[in-house]
Amino acid sequence: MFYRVNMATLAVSKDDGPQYQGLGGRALSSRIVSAEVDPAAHPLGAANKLVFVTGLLSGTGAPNGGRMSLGAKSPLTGTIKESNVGGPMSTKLGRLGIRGIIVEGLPNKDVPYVLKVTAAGIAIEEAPGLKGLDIYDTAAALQKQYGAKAAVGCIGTAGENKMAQACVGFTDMEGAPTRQAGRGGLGAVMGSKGLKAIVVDDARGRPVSFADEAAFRAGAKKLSGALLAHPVTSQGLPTYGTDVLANILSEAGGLPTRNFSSGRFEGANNIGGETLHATAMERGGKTGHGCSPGCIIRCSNIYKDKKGDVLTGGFEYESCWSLGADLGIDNLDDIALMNRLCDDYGVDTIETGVALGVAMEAGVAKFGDSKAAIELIKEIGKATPLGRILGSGAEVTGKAFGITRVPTVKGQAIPAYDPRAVKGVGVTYATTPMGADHTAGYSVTANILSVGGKVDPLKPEGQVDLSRNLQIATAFLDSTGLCLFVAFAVLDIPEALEGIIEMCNARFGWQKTADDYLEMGKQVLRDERAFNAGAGIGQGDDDLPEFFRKEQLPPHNVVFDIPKSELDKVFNF
Amino acid sequence: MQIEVRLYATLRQAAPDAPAGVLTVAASAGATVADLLALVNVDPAAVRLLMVNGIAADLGRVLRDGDRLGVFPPLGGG
Ligand code: SF4
Repeated sequence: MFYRVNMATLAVSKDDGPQYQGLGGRALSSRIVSAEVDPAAHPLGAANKLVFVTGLLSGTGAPNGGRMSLGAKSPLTGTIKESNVGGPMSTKLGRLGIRGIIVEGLPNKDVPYVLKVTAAGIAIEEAPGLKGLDIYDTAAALQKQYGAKAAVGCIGTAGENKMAQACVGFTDMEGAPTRQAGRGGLGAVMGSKGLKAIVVDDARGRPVSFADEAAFRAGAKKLSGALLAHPVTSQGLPTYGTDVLANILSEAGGLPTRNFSSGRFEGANNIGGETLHATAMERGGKTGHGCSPGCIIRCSNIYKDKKGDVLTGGFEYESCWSLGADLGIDNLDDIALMNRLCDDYGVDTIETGVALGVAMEAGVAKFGDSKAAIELIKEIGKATPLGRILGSGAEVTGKAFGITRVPTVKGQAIPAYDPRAVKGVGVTYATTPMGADHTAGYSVTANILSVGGKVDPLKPEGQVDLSRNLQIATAFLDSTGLCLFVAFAVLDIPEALEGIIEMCNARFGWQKTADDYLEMGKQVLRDERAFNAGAGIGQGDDDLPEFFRKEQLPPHNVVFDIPKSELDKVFNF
Repeated sequence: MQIEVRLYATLRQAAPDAPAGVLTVAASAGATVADLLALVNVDPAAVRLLMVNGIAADLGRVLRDGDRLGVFPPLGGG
């Protein structure tokens, strides 16, 4: 079932979406956006649409099957955008039989609206009391009104102020808004539509039906067996979370430090997963936290302050890096506070950290000064002119301050792996239709982690093939509603992919092969690239900023040396 | 010769008193990565990633005075 919500007329309609059969997650959101949004549309204008869609396996109870995709034309990049998020919402939507909610038009009235989604359908409600509230207060107010079990997705003041890097925050299993559809400014699109929140209550929802339930269960068992057998998904991630990467990347010389001027950070251990784990344990926090129903890997966490009060959750490597090493900051408590502020105002931690790094390069504050960094983030919350510059992302910040070392691709900040020392992920940053995004083709696996083979991270050879294969496989995985972290098992244990294929086939009565699903991944990339081309963003934009090819990165003193002509071979299918 | 050994994640249990898992170990000339692991009581079967001066290495790699050896179990993130 698909719902269309028109914010201009406040009308809701529903249909079966025959044109979108066989699609889920990123394949579905990118297809809807490319079919229904004029690529020339202004991202904050009436012609853009914001879609919330479930994955092929949402609501089935598939292991780690709790992701939901949001899509729109991005105000940050001007490209098509898919941003996926955990928490229980996609499972609830799946149980309500909802595959997509398409939010259209702009409202005529300046009042925050809430979409209330239940077994009875979708109601648009006015919520004047939520105006100007940040995400934690918004979620708490909505839980009070609609019940603690309802899943909430909402924007903070950054989204209301239509800042180009605003995110959408979602509640986790305990109801805390610690999960974000973080990248690409979809919170600003939501704000432009006057939509403050979406609330999903699946009371009287029904279990998802299967074409062949026994085959589905057998497939699910294969995937869960692989997740429980692979050391990364069964031990590393539940114990230390994603932030265990801080020390690995620093050791490998690929941890971007002080606005991408070094690849090794002397304070890496203070911000790394080992320290995060020890601190969480000491203060009665938690690691091994699952953000969504059916999560076996449980990479998430709850981080408490020195007094033992919860400060933040879902405290990820990317955030510990962007608000830490990239700013020369190694005080984990201060970084946790910054993470909390970003989650509360509703901005992307990666984009915010990188924007702050660029601002520090310009002398707005000193590298290493965590108190100044906290104050800068508060400017975003106050929407001062400086806060609006930072809230517009790293590229705008670079322009505002006349800085040349601005690590962005297609207007989106480069995440936590320096492309000079982890070249495979550099290829992904340069070429993915999303703008710089590590998750779109996570070559860090073979480059650094010895997962899915080995490709020397410092040499140009093999990186284009590695990135291409991962981008295709990821576009498929992002369409299933599975958390991408299943990929660690998929890359090393054949039963994992078999299980995924069997679950998708058994859910819908399909006979598709691995090749068919990879073709689905390829088609996602074709859809997205066609949209981008229509928006004036083409192959010429598939490259890294100049400084990565010119400035050597210590300690290995390497540059990004994959020729542009090689990058252009990524999409040769 | 002196080698700086850096243990990470669960492997730090082999040296609970070493701050941040960093040890300076005296080894004889010609010692390999495997020799160093034996000196610090780390079981090679528990190790997935080895880096010498930040570059991937294997157990047979011969070390030189002043080398920095990073030792990790299987890990991932994103
Ligand atoms: S592995 Fe982590 S991100 Fe994925 S569903 Fe579990 S807790 Fe959420």
